[in-house]
Formats: sequence, structure tokens, C-alpha cells
Amino acid sequence: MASEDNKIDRRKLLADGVRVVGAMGLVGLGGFVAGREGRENDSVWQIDPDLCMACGNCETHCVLDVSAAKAVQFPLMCGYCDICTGYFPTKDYERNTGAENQLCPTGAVICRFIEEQSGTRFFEYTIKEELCIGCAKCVEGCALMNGSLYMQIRHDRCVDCNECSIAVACPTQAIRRVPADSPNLFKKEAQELLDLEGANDA
Amino acid sequence: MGAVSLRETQLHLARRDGYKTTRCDTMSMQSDNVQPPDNTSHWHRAAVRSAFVAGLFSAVVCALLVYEYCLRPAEDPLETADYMAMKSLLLHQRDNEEIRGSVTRIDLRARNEYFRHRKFVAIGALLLAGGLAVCVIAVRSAATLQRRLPMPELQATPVDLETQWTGVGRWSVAVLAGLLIVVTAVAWCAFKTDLPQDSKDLAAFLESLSAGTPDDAPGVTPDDTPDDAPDAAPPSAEEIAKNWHRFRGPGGRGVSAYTNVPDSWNVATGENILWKTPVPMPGMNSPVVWGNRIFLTGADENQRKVYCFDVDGGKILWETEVAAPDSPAEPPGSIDFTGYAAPTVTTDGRRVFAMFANGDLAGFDYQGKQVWARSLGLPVNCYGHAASLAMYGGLLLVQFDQGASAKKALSKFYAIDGATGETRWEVARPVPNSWTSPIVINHEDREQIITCCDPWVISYNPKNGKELWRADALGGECGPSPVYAGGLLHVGNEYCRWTAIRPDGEGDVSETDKIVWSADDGLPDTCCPVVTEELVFLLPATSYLTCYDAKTGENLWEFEFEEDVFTSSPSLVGNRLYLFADEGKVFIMEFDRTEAREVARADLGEECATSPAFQDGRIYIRGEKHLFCIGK
Amino acid sequence: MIRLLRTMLPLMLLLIAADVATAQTVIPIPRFITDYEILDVQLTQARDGRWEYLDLAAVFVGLVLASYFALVRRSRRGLFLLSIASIAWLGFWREGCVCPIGAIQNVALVMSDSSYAIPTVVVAMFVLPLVFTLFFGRTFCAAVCPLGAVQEVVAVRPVKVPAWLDQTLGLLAYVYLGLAVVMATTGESFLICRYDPFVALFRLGGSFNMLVFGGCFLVVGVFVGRPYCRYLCPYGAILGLLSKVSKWHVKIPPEECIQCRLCEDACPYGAIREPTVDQTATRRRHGRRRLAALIVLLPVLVGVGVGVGGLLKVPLSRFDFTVRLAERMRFEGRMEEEVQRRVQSTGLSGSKIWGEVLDEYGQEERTTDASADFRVSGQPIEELYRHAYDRTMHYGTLGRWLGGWVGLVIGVKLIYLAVRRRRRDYQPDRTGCVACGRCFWYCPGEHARQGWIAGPIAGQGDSRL
Repeated sequence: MASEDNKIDRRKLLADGVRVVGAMGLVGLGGFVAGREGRENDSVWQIDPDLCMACGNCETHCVLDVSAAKAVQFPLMCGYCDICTGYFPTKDYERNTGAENQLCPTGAVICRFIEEQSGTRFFEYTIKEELCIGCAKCVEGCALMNGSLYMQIRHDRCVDCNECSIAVACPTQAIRRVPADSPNLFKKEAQELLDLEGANDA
Repeated sequence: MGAVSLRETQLHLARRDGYKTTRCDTMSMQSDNVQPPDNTSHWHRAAVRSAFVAGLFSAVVCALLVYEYCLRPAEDPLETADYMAMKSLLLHQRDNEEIRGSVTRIDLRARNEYFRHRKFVAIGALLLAGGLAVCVIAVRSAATLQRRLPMPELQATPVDLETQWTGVGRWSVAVLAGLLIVVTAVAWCAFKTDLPQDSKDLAAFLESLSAGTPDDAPGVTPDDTPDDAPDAAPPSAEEIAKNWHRFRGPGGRGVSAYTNVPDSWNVATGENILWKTPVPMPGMNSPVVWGNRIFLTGADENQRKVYCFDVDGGKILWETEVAAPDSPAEPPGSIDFTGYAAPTVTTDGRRVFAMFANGDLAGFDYQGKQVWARSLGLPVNCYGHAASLAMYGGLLLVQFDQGASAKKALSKFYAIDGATGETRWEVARPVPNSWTSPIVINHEDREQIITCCDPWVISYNPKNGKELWRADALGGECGPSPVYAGGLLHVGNEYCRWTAIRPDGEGDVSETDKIVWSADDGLPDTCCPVVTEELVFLLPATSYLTCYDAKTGENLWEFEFEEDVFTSSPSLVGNRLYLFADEGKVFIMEFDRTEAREVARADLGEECATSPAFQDGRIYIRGEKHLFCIGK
Repeated sequence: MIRLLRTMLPLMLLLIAADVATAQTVIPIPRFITDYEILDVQLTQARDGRWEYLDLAAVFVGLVLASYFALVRRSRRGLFLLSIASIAWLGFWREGCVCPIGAIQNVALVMSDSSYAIPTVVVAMFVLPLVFTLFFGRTFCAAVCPLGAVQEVVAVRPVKVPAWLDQTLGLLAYVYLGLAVVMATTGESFLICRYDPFVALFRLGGSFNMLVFGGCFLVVGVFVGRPYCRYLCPYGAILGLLSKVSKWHVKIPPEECIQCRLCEDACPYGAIREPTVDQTATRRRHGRRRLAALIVLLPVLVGVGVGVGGLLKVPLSRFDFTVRLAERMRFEGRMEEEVQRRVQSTGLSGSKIWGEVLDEYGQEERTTDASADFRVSGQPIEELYRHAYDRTMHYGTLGRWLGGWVGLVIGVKLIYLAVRRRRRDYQPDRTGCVACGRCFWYCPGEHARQGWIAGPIAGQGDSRL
């Protein structure tokens, strides 16, 4: 009986030891990992528009039913063309706003007349986000001209998966994690324009 | 003792809750059996029923969702062949209301279908989740309400179960280990790689890679040249200088070798017009002259033809329709600005080569027989393919830039054997569509092909297509072709800048001293420049003729035109510039370093968008409808 | 030819602002004459990070409650309601992210790549359940983990999986853990997240395959209790190990076991161990000899594992973007060589031969999006091949680590199955027990404790002595 009790005590002691070591190890691990150099507080997924090739994988590979990646207009770069290559197909169909003449399969690119200057007409193009499915067709079309339309992950929709399934399928590795406090990426050129504007304002 | 307390407990519990015993082993249990209270079975029945209903509901929803999924067309309805065909039909029959109606209908249906599908799936998913939740809750309640305590048998002697199952367990773990090994082995067999797998292989492989494109690529070794050697020997430099073998003549410079050409004529009276022949089919390509023959092409959406004119009298000696076996069935779209036959032909003095907006490429002998024809595929080009052809020895050079974005990687440069039409080499180009024509230059004994496109000027070794250098000097849509003169290469386009580059660099020379100068004024959109040893003349579509110092880039002067628009590239004859305006007016200007003077003016009497060819005492120019021979 | 634009040109030329002209835009940006104001870019901001701290707090509260319900209150109902709450909050509301299971990979990655940014919440999320398990057993699995909770709820008709099979299949979780950790260290693939069977369910949508996969797990889960937790979950594998040394652990009877055997079949997860029977001396001797042999076998198994794992070099490298791209470029190179060869031998046109060759190689296009982009980028292909080679070699090393780990796991499991522990009572198997509390109801002691039946049954337990 005594030896039995001793055995149990020994086992208990062993378990206690392992537990203490384990707990200390875990806390140490947590501290070590949390204290590592270069750690950002928080990050989110974003598409680098300079790398994006508008392949269309965003539409089909997001875990969401309707992708979290959508087209965005950068108005400072837009040419306000009357014949927008992001709005109309390159093929010479009719140039009117009939849905069948639009590049966008859901009619999410909205074209609005602004003004006319000596025979040249200017139009504003915006993305109606609730309709956009992220197929990137307009982005591909706009790349022909100014490339003011570009793909971005919309953080109000993105569920921030640990592994982004679009990133896995992205042929140009254009999707990466960026700091949560500056969660949007611009084209290099767009960033320059923004900086310029900021400088002008200042 | 233990056994007694167990039995008592069992009976106790059974009596209290009125559960049926499952494994009844004693007579006493039989007699003590009590019917369950009614309200429990009532609830149980209700739970089972609702579970059944919810389960059925979920199954139906699930089946509908799967059905919807399977029903979904494999192809995007807006990209089906039928729909595309109908749309391109509409392109050609714009007034056909029937086609327009069905296009609109199919389009509307597809779009509605898309949103319907999305709504269906969203609602279906919610219903399914709800149904399953109810089902699970009901089933669980049913199970809990019907939960019974087991009635284990009494064991006289305890059975050593653990020894049994651990024994089996050890063997099954062994089996699992075996299975894992098998799975690994299968994976190992299934995934084979073509890449080198040890450092020695890697080194050898990388070696072979760089050796794979030697300067004497197999395609152009003497052994491979065709047997009809006397005929196939490329023309000499003198021959080329005498003739007008490509777009803008020798070197693509637009410089006439003869100064004795007329500076006045009158189409109406026939003064200095030797002959004028209608060209049967339209085309924006320019005439090419070799010996006593003039070549040009014409095309519409169905037919592509090469014409050969006699320099004396202007008779059409032959016309041959191009028949490429793999010609695309569909005509190219978006050709409003360039037409179906914008590329100018080229010739090596033995054969003539023609290219068209649909990607068809063909070689003909001087008797008009098609020697070969092939298609490079329908180009994706937002204004229509327009790059003219060039020659290097017996190689036909085709700059086939296409695609809205460089990221599509559609653009290629081909060097094609003029005798057979086989590709000798080809390189992919990191550029979108362009409308410039390549030139071949020889700078300090280094032969190079120069190509221009957004954003790169790229130089290739004409022997094997190896890239020699590149410079980021262009942007947007490139129309003007490069010109080489006085040891400098002059490139540029509208909305970007004009740049002179010394073409002796390696790699990316954008940020190096190879960029000699650049300027921003008077940038042309379409017209190629005229460049002499000292001066550069730029001609934008409208406004000014601008002159720069070729060595320094100093802006020397500007000459303003009234309302004239230019598509035709300017040419240099002696000390005179010949400028053909779109409406047919011709300006002949003299110039020096300080100014330009209009010395003569003539008129073609019809619109003109092509560039002239100059021969001994003659100008050949293609108007909208006619080919003119101007001379005394 | 650019007359399309020319309609707007004359005016626009005047309008080009000097600063904009330096940019690479094709069409100049107009200066409007009406009072039209250029819109702002529509940006979205990242979700409030405080949500994640709330999640962490929720997990902490959940762990406290689950431990309280399982160990103190012994309330199956409490645990069940907590499960529902977990499914609702962490599952459907927060859509299954962040979860401690996936956090394994982030921690693994940060250990191998110090530049990787790991949020504090993720670290805390990873460590918290581990610490709780060290003290209270797998109460995280009981009711906090939404994946476990979903399976707990659907386990209506569980059949008893034979103990030997249960133990064997349980090894798969360790294999999966090893694979996931090894792949996570490369920073390329988070397999646990990619193949999470229930996340598509929580999001009410996802790829068809994942939905079917998750659906299968649910259907199987009706008959086999918690199939993912027991046979795949890598976090469960770690928790199982820690649970072995937990300070406190859920007990079947509230007091003493009376060996009534009512709970024998109560556990749907096969985690109740019956009292042991003493062996004969011969058997014991045999057992000892077997144990000695298996201990000697352990290093051999690890060695074999390392060897076999090396075979995984190429299969694992297929997860790598660079290697896939290099493979593709090589493949396209082979096609090009073939086309060159045929063009020279037949004299047919290149485009025709390409068609043939593509058909023969089963390809639709000459390039993929990735290879096309690579070709355009102008990066030297030698670099790509060299990089791909380095990566492949790295995967070989990882494969050997993985093999060694699997060998170790198998060896230790064999030893575990050969060691005999003496038990006098019905006890939960600490590794397998997820503290769900299903067994409470089966214990007469519990009924007495709750006052459902009369008499101090607990006292009768003493009669054994």
C-alpha cells in the first residue's frame, strides 16, 4: 500500500513538474514571439495594383460568395474620356450606355456626363460597389489608357482569413499583408499624385 | 457487495424515471418495468416529427441548391461562341434590328440570371442553415427524451479488455505506419520534376540555358539556308540604297537618294504627272519600289491582295489574293483608324512580303506567285495592327505588338525565313500594342534591330533575337517609328518626350549617359521624324513643324501651319522637306538652322495618309484612291 | 491613327498641367470649366482591431465558464449552452477567424521568419487555451472552440469506435500537425486554414468542394463523435498532450467510483477507460520485454521516418509558388523546343505546329497568367531556376523533419500502447477526453449528488475496501 502511494506521489510530482515547466515555457514562448523585432501591431490583406495583372482570379477565388476584392476608381488619374476603355469593350460595338454594350457584366461602372469643352465631352466614371463582383474586366480595359481603375480588397467586406485564398491563386503574388493603419495601396504613379496634392495643400 | 449496490442503483433509477431498460438480465427487472409517463413520449414524438420535417426541408433545400449549382452554365453566357458571333455580326450589320434585339435579349437574360442565381444561393444558404439548426435541435431533444440508462451485464470475472485492444492497437499502428510509407512513395512517384535536383545538374542546366541561344543560332547557320542559293542571296547594300525597299525607304529614314524629283505638278492638267492608276482595294500602306516594280496591298474584311505595278505606265502587272491556310475566320475589330491593310510591304529584291491587320503574313515571288503564307493569329490591337515589315538579309522582321496591357504578354518579335516562311527566331516582348515599325541599324559594327513601344525602346541582335539593350523612353501609344542618323537613335511619342540615344549600351540604359538628350516640344503622334546628321524635324498631327539640333537637343525653330493635319511622314530630298498633308496639299520647304521657308506647294487632289517613295526623277505616292507617279 | 483622341487634343494640350505631364498617364487629365469637383478615392479602413481583443476576451470568459461548468458545476447543460453561444459568436458572427487552431501556423512561421508580423491577439489566442489545458484539461474543446461545438451538437447517434482503431486514427492528427507546422514555416501555405472543414459553413458560402467537405464531416459526425477533433485537429493533438499533466481534470463520478459500469458506453469519443485487471506474471514479463524492444525500436523508426520523409521533397515543393513557376517555365521551354524541332523538320508554319503541340501536351494556351507575367517582367530565368532549386532543397529538409516527427510519433504511440497503467476506477482518458460532460448523467453518484435519487450512494463505494 505504501509503495502504491509513493508511486502515485511520484507521478503527481512528475506531472506537477511538467506542468510548471510547460506553463513557464508557454508564457516564455508568448513573450518571445510577442517581443520579436519588427512586429507590426496588426495587418490586413491588400492588392498591390502595380503588380496586379487583372487576371480575374479575385472574382472566383475569394471565400466569400461575392469577392471582397473590387475595382476602385482613382479619379486623379482618370482621363474622363468620352470613350472609356474600361467602360466599353475594345471591340467597336455601339457607344451607348446600353448594358449589352458595357464591359462590366453587372453594370457596376457608372458613367455620368460632366461637361463639354469645345466639342470634347468629359464623363465621370465611378464604381457602384454593391454591384461590383471584382472580375477586373474594367481594370484590364482601363490599363489601355490611364489605368485609373484598379483592384483593391475592400476591408468592410474582407473577413481577413489567416490565409487569403485569392493570394494563393494570384499569378503575380500581388496580394500581401499591409499594416492595418494604412490598409490601402496605390499605384506608384497615383501615390506620386497624392503626395503632390498633399504638398500643394500644405 | 458491489454487485448488490449496483443492482439497487439500476432499479432505483429505472423506477424513478420510468425508462425502459435496454439490456434486461433479471426477472426482477421484468416485473418492475414501468410504463413511461405519457407526457415524455408525447414530447418525444413531437421532437421526432419536427426533426423529420426539418430534415426533409433541409434535404429539399440542399437538393435545390445542388441542382442550381449543376444547372449553372459552364461558360459565361456573355462569352459563348454564339453570343460573340452575334455581337461581331452586329459590328458589320449595324442596322440589323433583329440581331440587335437578340443581343440585347440574351444580354439581359444573362445579367438577370446572374443576380437571380446569387439571390437564390443566399436565401438557400440561410434556409438550409435554419433547417439544419431546427433539425439538429429536434433530433437532440428526441435523443435526450429517449435517453436510457444501459443495463450492463454482471461479470463474474473481470475481462482484461485493455491487453486485448492494445495488442490489436500496436499492430494497427504498424499498419498505419506502413500506409504512410506507401502514401509517401505514391506521392514520390506521382510528382516528378523536370528541374535539376542536385547542384551539379543545376550548374549544367544553367550552362545549357545560356548556351541555348548562341550568336549563331541553328536557324541561321549556312547549312540551313535553302538550296536555291543564287536566288536567295540577300541584296547588297548598294542595291538597297538605289531602291525603296520598305516603309520610308532605306533605313526607314524617309531620305531620298535622288534630288532630281519635281517640286511642282498639277493633277488636274496632268503637268508632271507621268501616270495615275486607281488602286482597287483600300489600304493605308505606302508604295515600295524595286527596279521596275512597285508593290502595295489593299484589303477589306474578307479579302487581302498584293498589287504589283509597272513603274512605266502604271499598269497593274499582277494582283494576288493572300491565302493563308490558318487565317482567322473572324475579321479584326477596331480598325477604324488604320484599315485592314496598314502595314507597308517589304522586299529583298527577289520576293515581296505583305502583312495585314488580321495577322496574315505572306511571301510572293516577283511573278505574283504566293511562295508561302501563314497567320500570326488575330492581333489584339485597339486601333488595328499597323507595324510595317523590315528585312535583315534574308530574314523578314515582324514587330507583332498587341494586347491592351503588357501583362497579357501577347507581344512578340518574329524573324521569319523569307524563302520558306518559317520562324527563325522569336522573342516575347514585355509591351502592349504599338504602331511603330522596326528598323535595322549598324552602329559601330554592331547590327541591331530597334523597336519602339510603351515604355521600352528595345534593341535585338538580328542574328538570334537576343536583347542587346533597352531604354525606358516612351509612354502611352507609340506611333512614330525610330530613326537612326549620325550615330544617334531618335525615338519618342506624343505625351511622353523625344529622346536621342547612343545605341552602344548593354542592359537597361534608361538612367545612363546613353540618353544623350530629351525634349518635350512638338511631339508627333503619328508621323515619323526626318533626321539628318545635324537636325531633327518633328511633325505633330497639327500645329508646328519643330526643328532640333540632333547632337544637343536645342530647340532651333518652329514653323506653324494654318489648319493642315498630317498623317503621312515627312521626307527629305536634298535640302528640301516634302510634307504631304491629309487633304492632299503638299508643302515643299527649305530650311537651315534658323528657319524654314515654304518654297513650293502642290496638290494631289485627293486625301493622302501614306508616305511617298522616291526614285530617280520620280515620286510615287498613294492617295486615297490612286497611285500617282510624279516626274518629268 | 490616334485620331480617336485627337478630337479632344487641341484643347487638352493646353490643359495639361505641368505636374501631371510627368506622370505616365496616356490621356491628360482635363481641367474642368464647370464647377465639377474631382471625387476622392473611395478607400476602406481596416476593421477596428478592438474586435479582436473582444474575441480574445470572449475566449477567455468562455474558457473560465467551460472549466467552471465541467469541473465545478458538472453541468452538461451549461456546457451545451456555451457551445451554442460559441457557434453563434466565434462561428457565425466572427466567421471562424481568428482561431487558436490556425494560430499554430502563425506561431510556427514567426519562429522561422523573424520578419513576419504576428499580432499580439494571435499569440494570446494560441497560448490561452494551452495554459487553461495545463490546469483544467481540454475545456477549450468542450465548449469554446466553435469547430468542436458544431461537432458536439450534431453527434446524435455516435457509434463506438473500437479503442485500437481510435488510437491509430488519432495519430493522423499528429501527422497533420507536423505537416501544417512544416508548411507554415515556409510562409507559403497555411494548410490548416485552407482545409478547415467548417469555416465554409460558418460563412454560409465558399467553394463547392469545401462545402461538400464540411458537409461530409457533419454527416459523419452524426455517427462518429467529433471526427475532426479526434482524428485531424492539430491543436487538439497538442491539447491532448498537455491535458495529460493537467492539475485538475473532469471526473466521471463526483466522488468515489462504485464501479457500476453504467458509464462504460457513455462516452461517444471513446475516452472512458475501464479499471485494469491484474496480469499473470508470465504476461507481465512478456510485456516488459516487448516494451524494451519498442524503446529500442524508437530511434530506428525516427531514422526510417527521416529517410522516407526525404521522398517528400518534390511533392511538398509543389506548394511553392517559385517552384511551380519554374516548373511551368521549364515545361514551356520543352514545348518551345518541340515546336522548333518540328518547324525545322516539317517546314510548316509555327502557329499551326503550336496548335498541334499544345494539343499533345494537353494545354490550352502557351503560357499561364503567372508565366506570362514572369516573361514580361524581364527577370533572368537563371535566377528563377536557381531560386527554385534552393527552395526545392529546403523542402527536402522539411520533408525529412516531417518524416522524423512522424517516426517519433509512431514510436511513442507504440510504447504508449505497450505500457500498462493500473486503474481501479472508471476514468477519463486524459488525452481523448474533451470534457464535454456527457458521462455525468450516467453516473449514479451524480444522480445522488443532484438529489434525483435518494440515499448516499457515494458511501456505498466504500464497501469495496
